[in-house]
Parts: sequence; structure tokens; C-alpha cells
Amino acid sequence: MYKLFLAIRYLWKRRIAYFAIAAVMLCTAMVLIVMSVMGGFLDQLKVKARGLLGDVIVDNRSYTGFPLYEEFLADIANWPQIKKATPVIYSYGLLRFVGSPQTNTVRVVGLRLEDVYEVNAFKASLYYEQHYPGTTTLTPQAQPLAGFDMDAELIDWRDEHDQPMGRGPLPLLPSAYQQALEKSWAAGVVDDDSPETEWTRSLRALKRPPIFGQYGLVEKPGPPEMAGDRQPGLIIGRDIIARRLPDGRYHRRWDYPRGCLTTITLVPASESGTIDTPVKQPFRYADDSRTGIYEIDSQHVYCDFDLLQKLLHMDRAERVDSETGQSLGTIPPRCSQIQIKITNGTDAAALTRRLEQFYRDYLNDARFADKLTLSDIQALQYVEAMTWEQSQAHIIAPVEKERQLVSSLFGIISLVAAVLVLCILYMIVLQKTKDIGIVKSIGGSPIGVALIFLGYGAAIGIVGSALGAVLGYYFVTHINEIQDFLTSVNPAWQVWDRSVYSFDQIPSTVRTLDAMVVVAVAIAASTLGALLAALRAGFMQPVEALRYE
Amino acid sequence: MSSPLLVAKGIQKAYRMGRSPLRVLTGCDLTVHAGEFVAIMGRSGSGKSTLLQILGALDVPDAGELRFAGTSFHAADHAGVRWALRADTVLRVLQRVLLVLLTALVAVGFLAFIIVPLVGLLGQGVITSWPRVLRPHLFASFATLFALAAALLVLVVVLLVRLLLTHVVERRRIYLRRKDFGFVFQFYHLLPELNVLENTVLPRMVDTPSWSWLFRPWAARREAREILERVGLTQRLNHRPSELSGGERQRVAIARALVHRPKILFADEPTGNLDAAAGAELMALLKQLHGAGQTIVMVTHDAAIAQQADRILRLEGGVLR
Repeated sequence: MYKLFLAIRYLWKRRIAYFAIAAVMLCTAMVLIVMSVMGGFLDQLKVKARGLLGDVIVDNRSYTGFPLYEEFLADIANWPQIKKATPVIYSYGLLRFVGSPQTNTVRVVGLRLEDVYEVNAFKASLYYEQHYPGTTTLTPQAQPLAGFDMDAELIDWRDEHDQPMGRGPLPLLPSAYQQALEKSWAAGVVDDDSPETEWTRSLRALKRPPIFGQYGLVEKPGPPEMAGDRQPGLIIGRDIIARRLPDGRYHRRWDYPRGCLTTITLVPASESGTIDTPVKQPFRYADDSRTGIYEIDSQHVYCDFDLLQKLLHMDRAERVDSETGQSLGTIPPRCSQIQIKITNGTDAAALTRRLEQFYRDYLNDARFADKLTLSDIQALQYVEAMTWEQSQAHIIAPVEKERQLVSSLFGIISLVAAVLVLCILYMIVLQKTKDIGIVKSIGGSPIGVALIFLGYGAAIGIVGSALGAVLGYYFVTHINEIQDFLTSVNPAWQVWDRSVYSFDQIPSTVRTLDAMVVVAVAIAASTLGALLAALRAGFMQPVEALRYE
Repeated sequence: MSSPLLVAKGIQKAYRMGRSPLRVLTGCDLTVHAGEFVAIMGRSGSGKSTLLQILGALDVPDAGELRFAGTSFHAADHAGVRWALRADTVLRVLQRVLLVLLTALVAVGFLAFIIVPLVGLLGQGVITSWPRVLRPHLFASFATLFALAAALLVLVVVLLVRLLLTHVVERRRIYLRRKDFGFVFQFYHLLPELNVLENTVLPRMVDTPSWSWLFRPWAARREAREILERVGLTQRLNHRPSELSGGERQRVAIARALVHRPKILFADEPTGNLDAAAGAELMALLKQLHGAGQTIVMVTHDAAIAQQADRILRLEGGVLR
């Protein structure tokens, strides 16, 4: 008992121990903050990367894709583990807005929108679909132009800063869009993605649903209308179409209104891998998508699966003998990927193995014995199924490695605390040499005296790490407020630039297990730091200790 | 005459002063009976305190025989202790070897981490491919780190085993200090962080197993209060040693020495640091304790103080006369 009693008494009475406690506290807090922020970053990344993928993906990593996906979808449709499966095509193209000199290289994704809504969280990433539910489609469509309600009273127009601009007519969207807007407005959908505009300010002041996003205006003041020729819809990555503001919101340009014309130039490839004549297809900007991953949002555009399949010559076609012109059968349609939503509780890894084998077994399936060409067989041989985590490993793994590396580095830096505890305790043992002699003279054993100082080190570790855990937790849970405060004091102190990173807020996740490990390691390090001093005290002879000056 | 409580025969002790040993005790014989008050006198540096520390199991003699209540407490008299001492000697050698090894490994580590890469950088013109430089460097670095960690681990284990052996060697003397002996020092030797009551109760705390103390700390505290009342410090229970006079501190030291009811109280120049009045008060207290049956062995250079004992012995030339 005297060991614990003296260890605690020394802890409170020796002020030098406060420095050791402070060092342990700061190191614990530092490691906890680093692990939490990096862990939060990783979690966010996983959530965002997951957004556009199915639970399981079937792919053959080929630009020209793989055949028999229709048969595959039909065959697995009744599997109890599978909720929904949908084919996807990935390709590359050049995006150009009509009237703009700018051309972007983009990754073109062909998908069946309604199916994708069921397979992953793509719908939640769409801006206009959020505020105008049911209006986003990839089918041919005209441009919705905002007009005015000529029968209504004039309203007070306000600019984006809420300053009066004068009076004007009440703006109105084509009926389908206006109804969808009113529906979402009534449901309480708010726009935290865009800054205020003249339209949102003016309509909000009238307590009417604000017109979110950018719409073109009718040429002459009049009712809203659907204008222009009907072209297939295109969903564009938000970082392509809108400018990201430092606060994380997006500013949509007025000259790229919803429904404006764009073109995509695609390069089809033949089965043998040679390039066919490029094809140019006009689209209308139907919506924009934001997954939160900059690499995706700045490069991906999404169009209808069947259209893209046709444009890339991946659809069903007749195989003709080039010399005789005689029909040799049909070329099966191809896709680049199949995304699958599985039921809860299904072992995804086991399912991937089964799906992969199932697909490859088509090579021996009598149904397709005479229909597959050599290139089809090769394409099938490379089909593999993987979980979404495996497919995104190239994004997640480096961050995971980085998290481990940074945590390890900070952990090593934290060894400084252990060395500090060692130095301070060694100093205290020197100062307390006479006390050691006294305790031994009244019957304290070598092990008992060593335990006093070992307990002292552990107590420093316990108090320091507990304070550090509280400090770290407080810092991590208020990290964004702290950043905002620092930025308000001096804008140059903004550490987290939202226009650079993918996430608006500094992500952080405090994992209880991580915190417990950090605290345990801090206590162990402090105790080990005290070991040398404790051994010295234990070996000290009482007479020598009492004579010590 | 009752059987002797403490017997010392042929006690020898020498200190190393430079190259030549300083023989302080050359063959002291002493027998103390229960209830006796023995004073040992001698000039400064004659070895009085050394003798008292040996008698009180705080120090070990180079030679001689020590018995308390008929049982030897000289370390070398027990087979288990002799074995522990031999093992400790072996481990001490191993400890030195490990320290040399660790020093060498730190030097190798320095070479591996700093010198080799530096040579590699400087010699880039000669050694054209980095891997040839890096691979041995990496290997040496990891091998050194591994060896360093292993040597450190072994060293810690050796030190822990040695601590255990020290405990085995000192076990009998620790027991005596804990149960049967009480000490009063010239310079009081109170723990400055503890108050009067805590200083007094500390030996009881040392003597009581933790689980037992957790459930019954009040009995020991009550006894400590009673003893402090006997030495006249009832009003000073919560004061720290720095807030007490010299005489009061020494009375706290006496209370601490008596709290576990020792069979012998050893007092090393108990009045040496006190003024005449305080010294007289303290001696009155010791006399009172002796009157109550307490066996006391006191060391002093003051003849007037020594006169108050039943028996006076003089330490001259390393022997008691």
C-alpha cells in the first residue's frame, strides 16, 4: 500500500512531474488527433468511393468490354443473395460545351439510370434530381427555359446579397419542373450546395420555393417553355460544370444552364483493339453529380447505357464475312462492368468467387458453344468479380498506408515523452535518494521501492494520457470550429482549404479502440520510462542512500 | 539474566578509500539483553554509526556473526542467500558484457544510419547504382536495430532478476527492519511530502499487506496518534516536517520508530542536532520509554547523554571496550 501511497503523493507534490504529465498529455492528444483525422479521412473516402459502386463488381478491365452480360444478368436474377444487377460501360471521350472553346477529356460512363438508383447511392449525388425529383433523365429531352407568370403581380427582386433591385415579374419554370420543385420544397429539401442567387433570394423573400441551379430564360418575357431539339441527357461531374468555392459550395455558371447543349466525341474500338472512326454525339446537360471524390467529379460524365453501347459499337450486330458478305451470325453485345447490389448478410467475398466462376463457366456452356469468337473467349477469360473495396483499393490503400505511416511517425515522436519521463524520474530518484534510504530503513524492500517509482511512472502515464485523451477528443470533435476561429482571426491560418480537398469539413472519426490503444501505449511507455529509475532505486543500499547528499 | 536479544561477534568492516582500505571496525563484540539501554561512545569517525547500522541490519559487515533472538541475520549464513549472491555475481558480469555490447551496437547503428549512407552519397561517382549502397545499409540498419532491441530486452531481464536476487539476499534484514528494529537518526530523516501523522504511520503501512490496509487503515492511524500523544505532538498531526522545530522533528522520528512496537530501538546521535533543552527533553523521553521496557541501543559522542544509559561502551581502534 505504501508504494501506491508514496507514488501518488510524489505525483502531486513534485511539480517537476507536471512537465512529464504535460508531455504525455500532449503526445497522447497529438497521436489521437492524427489517428482520428486520418481515420476520418479514410472513412469519408470509403463512403464517397463506395457511392457509385455496387457491393460487387464484375469487370474484365478491357476498353472493349466483355460479352454475355445479358445472359448473366438473367441467370443471376433469381439468386437470393442478389437484389439488383446492372451493366455499365466505361469509355473515354472529349466533352465540349456548344459555344465554348474549352474541351475536356472525360471518362464517359454509360448506365441505366433507374437500375443504378437501386444499386448504389448515385441518386443522392445528383443536384437537380434532389430539388426537382423525377426530372433528371438520360433520355432525349429539350431544354427547360424559365419564363414568367405574366398574370401574377410584380415582385421585388433582390440580388444575391439581399439588396433590392427593383420590381419585376414572378419567375416560373416549365410545369413539370415547377411542380417537382414545389414538391421537394414542401418536403423540406434545402440547398446547402450552392450560394444564393438573385432568384433564390427574391423567391425566398416571398416565401415561395426558390429556383435552385441555373436555368436559361425565354427569349421574350412570357411563360416558361421547353426549347430546342431533343437530345439525350448527360449527367456531368460537378467539378467539370461548376466552380468549387473555398467554403465547399459550388457556383454554377449562368452560361451553362440546365439543358444546355454539349457534345461528346467518342472513339470506338473494334474487337481486335483497332480504333474506328470517332463519333460525335450532342447531349443536353441534365444534371450534375458530386460523389465527393475530386478525381471522379472532375472527370466523369454519365449517359444512357444503350446509347453509349451503340456509339462505341458494343451493341448487338451482325457478323459478316468481309470477303463474301455472307452473314456469320451475331456479335453479342458487350459491357465494361456489371454492378451488383447484394442482400444484407451476404458474404461478399464468397459471392465474388462464385460469380467469377459462374461467368467463366460460360466458356463451357453448350448454349454459347458456336457463338463465341476467339476475342469473346479471351474477354470472358479475364472476367473477374470483386467487392467494391477491392475495386477501389487503388484509392483507399494509399490513404490507409498513409494513415499507418503518419500514426507510426507520430508514435515514434511520442517516444520523446517516454524519454522525458525517464529523465524526470531519474532526476527525482536522485533527489529522493534519502527518502529511498528512509523507506528501506523502515522495512521497504528493493522490489517495493522499485515499485514506488514504477507506480510513479504509471501514474504520470495514467493522468497524462487521460488528460491527453480528453484534450484530443475535444480538439477532434471541435476541429472545424477551431479552424473557423483561426481563419476568422487570420485568413492565412486556414489549414484545411476546402477548394483543394475533396471534403468540405475536416473529417475526423474517434475510434474507441484506437483511443484505448493510444492511452494504453502512453501508460506503458511512461511506466517503461520509469523502469531505469525504479531499478536504480531498488538496488540502492539503505546506508548509501541515507548518506547521500 | 535473560537470554541475549542481540549478539554481535567479531564484527569487521572496512571502506575503500582510494587504493587502500580503511578498516573501521576490526572485531566488535556486543551482547544486548532485552530491556537494556546501551550507549556506545566514541570520537567522530570512530565507526559508531557504522556499527549501529550493522547492528540494525541497515548495513552488512565484512566478517563477523550477528544474531537476533538466537537467529543469525548475517547474509552469508544462509545457503539460499549464498546461492543468490553467487547468481548475482554472474549476472553482474553479464550486465557489464551487455552494456559493452549495447555501446558497440549504438556505434554500429551510427555507422549504419549515418556514415554508410554518407559514404554512399559521396561515392556516387564510383558506386553508380543506389541499390548496391542501400541494400547493405538497410540490412545493417535493421539488423542493428533488432540486436539493439534484443540486447536491451535481455539487459532489462537481467536487471529484474538481479533485483529479485537482491530481495532474496536482504529478505531477513528487511524483515527485522520491518518488525523488530526501529531507527532514530541524527538528522531525523522524515519524508518532507508527508505530514506528522503520515510519517509516523508509514512503517505500519510498509508492514501491512495492501489488501489488509485497505480494509483496516484506522487501527494503525489510531496507534500512531497514541504514540504521537506520548511524545507530545497531538497538536502537530497535520504539520509537515518543514513546519516543525528540530526537537519536534526528532520526536516524530521517535514516534515513527516506535509505531510498529520494535524490540530494539537504535538511536544514532539522537540529540546531535538539538540544543541543550531539546536534547534534555528527548533524553527524558528515551528514559521514559526505557522505563516502560524498551530496549535501546544509542550511539553518542556526548558523555553526559551517555550517562543516562544502563551501560556505556567505548569504540576505540575498531573494537568495543
